[in-house]
Amino acid sequence: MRLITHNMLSSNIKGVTNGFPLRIEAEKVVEKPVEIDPKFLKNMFVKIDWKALVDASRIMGYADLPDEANPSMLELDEFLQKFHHALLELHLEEGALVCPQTDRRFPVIKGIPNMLLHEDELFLQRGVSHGGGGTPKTQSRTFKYLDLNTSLSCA
Amino acid sequence: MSSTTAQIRLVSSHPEVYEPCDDSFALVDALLADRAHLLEQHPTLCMEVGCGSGYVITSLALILGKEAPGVHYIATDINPHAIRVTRETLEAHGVHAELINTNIASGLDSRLKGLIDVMVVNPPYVPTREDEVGAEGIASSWAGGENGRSVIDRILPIADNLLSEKGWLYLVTLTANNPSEICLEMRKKGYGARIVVQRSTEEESLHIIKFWRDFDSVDAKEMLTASKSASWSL
Ligand SMILES: C[S@@+](CC[C@H](N)C(=O)[O-])C[C@H]1O[C@@H](n2cnc3c(N)ncnc32)[C@H](O)[C@@H]1O
Repeated sequence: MRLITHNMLSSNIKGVTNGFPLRIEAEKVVEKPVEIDPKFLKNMFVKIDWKALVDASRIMGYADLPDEANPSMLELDEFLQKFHHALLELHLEEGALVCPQTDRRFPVIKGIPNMLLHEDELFLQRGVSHGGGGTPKTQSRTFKYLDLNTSLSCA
Repeated sequence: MSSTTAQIRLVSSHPEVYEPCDDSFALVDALLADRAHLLEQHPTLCMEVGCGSGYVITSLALILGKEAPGVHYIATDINPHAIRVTRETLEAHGVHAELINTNIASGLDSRLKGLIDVMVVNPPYVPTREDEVGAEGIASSWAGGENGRSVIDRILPIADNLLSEKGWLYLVTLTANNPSEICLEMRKKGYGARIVVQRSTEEESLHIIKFWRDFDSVDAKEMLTASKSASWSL
């Protein structure tokens, strides 16, 4: 999972109002170099929550992004390179994304975030916090079909 | 161009993951047929909902290829095995998509709102009993409930929320899904619609419909009603 995806994901638990950004628990981070694409970076810049990207990249062990950024910096190669690296080259391979409001852990296994909810999370919560009970693997198996069934029956 | 798709090899599979079939091929053919328009549209974010084996999103990435710099791909599936197979298919063809194991686009709806330029969906569309939808096993990849519309009808408002102003949706439908009614529903949300590929096999008649936000045709509703009988007499 690249940090661009982290920047696009929010906690989807019903009733959560401050679900962004998800807190990153990084167990394994890998770097995969890709060709820089200035056009893409320029288009995406305005859509990125800069602070979330800076904080996420620091947790992932990359501290070179400036605290503040503005579009004029996109003309600087050095800035583009750093933005590119943080957004697209750092991958969260193993770890979790944690809901900032409920502490519910969404596991990231082999680079794939599992946002499937479990039945009681599809309805409004009464301030209950979800501990990350169970290993991530059993979680994804157990809730796979529950999630679909439940959301269909309430659709 | 057809050589591009012919090169898609299925390097990975799983008994619970939908294998590319006529519907998948028809969707990719629609994307191929629309390639020039897709390139002109200059998409930044392309997304597939329900990527299964990864055949479609991998094809899309190869179809747009190097001629479309600045494109980023995202794919979701509710089935974790499908996501894993998709990753292997993408890797085998040297392309990348960000993969998320989620229900349609759950978790992406607020931050991706209005950002998706191209969305492709081959949903579970086969008419079945409602309780078969999302049931255990491979059935959930095709079981679509009453008229095959259960999952489609949940996807449409989500697509509307995610699509950018210039955004397009390519949707696979079956005659039994009542595509003209789907078009009317989308018309109410302000979309124009066109059949890009129509294909009949022994068992099913498939339409790949392209939707786009139609800002300037106020009379389109009447137009559609008028043309309805003509374009959907199958
Ligand atoms: C007909 S298959 C299409 C697979 C692939 N895109 C293709 O064209 O070959 C439908 C896919 O949608 C997935 N799916 C079903 N319900 C879903 C949901 N609620 N959210 C996300 N994906 C879903 C299934 O797991 C399956 O992989």
